[in-house]
Amino acid sequence: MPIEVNLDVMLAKRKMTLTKLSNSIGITIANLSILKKGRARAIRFSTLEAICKELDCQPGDILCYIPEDGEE
Amino acid sequence: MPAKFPFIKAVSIVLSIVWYLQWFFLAVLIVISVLIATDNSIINTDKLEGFHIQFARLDIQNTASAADNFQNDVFLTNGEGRLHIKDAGYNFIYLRLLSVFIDSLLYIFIIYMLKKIFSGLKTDVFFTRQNGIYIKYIAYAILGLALIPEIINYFVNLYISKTLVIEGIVFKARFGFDFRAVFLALLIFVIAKAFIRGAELKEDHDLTI
Repeated sequence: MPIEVNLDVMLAKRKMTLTKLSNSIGITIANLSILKKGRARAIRFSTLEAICKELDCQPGDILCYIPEDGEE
Repeated sequence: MPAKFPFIKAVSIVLSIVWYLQWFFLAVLIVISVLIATDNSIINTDKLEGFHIQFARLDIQNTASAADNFQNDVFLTNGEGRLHIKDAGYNFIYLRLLSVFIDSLLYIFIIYMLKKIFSGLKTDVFFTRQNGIYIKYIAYAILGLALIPEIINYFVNLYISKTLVIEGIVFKARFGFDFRAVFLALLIFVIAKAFIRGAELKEDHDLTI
């Protein structure tokens, strides 16, 4: 999928663990792990809002679009 | 402490019994086929039911009329009956056995698929794409059950009508299949498609964070 999730990068920048983020936004570690590994099919606005609020960042800092081979 | 899924467990046990019975039946069928092929004196052909056939015309000659005691020739058209063949040398007996053999294999396949689906039920993980595929296979097997034996029977009847000569009887081969079974297979196929789509939606939902 050409959408890449940079949650681990943002967590490292904020020096925060996945467990702490999980406890503060109320999403299970299992689900955050799916998101971090890029296996998620979709992300709710509410989840994105909670992550951005906690990590003090913009959605673009967590998600970025990388074109696949053959795409412009 | 009661079992978690008593009904499913009971059905699984019944399926297992039917599964072994089907294999036993298949083994017996193979043994009987080999016995007929090698030494048919072992089999009492008098007790065989014979073949279901259709006849185009059956002439019954010199029938006495009850009313006037005259001798008349009468005939029946488009009838059905059973043809009892005592001579096991006819090749179509093996074709008929092949039909039963394919029937049994398809039943075994269906029971195997059901066993797999029910084993998934025990673990409480039922709504999966794999179960949908199993249901689709069951639909194909039911379609096979509805069509394959009928196709073989048609060829048997065709063979009988071409080779067997009995005075006064005109045989004909007619192809017919159980439409209800085909309808059932199509219905199960639709359910399988819906099941697979549902499983995809569930997966999408599960992977939406």
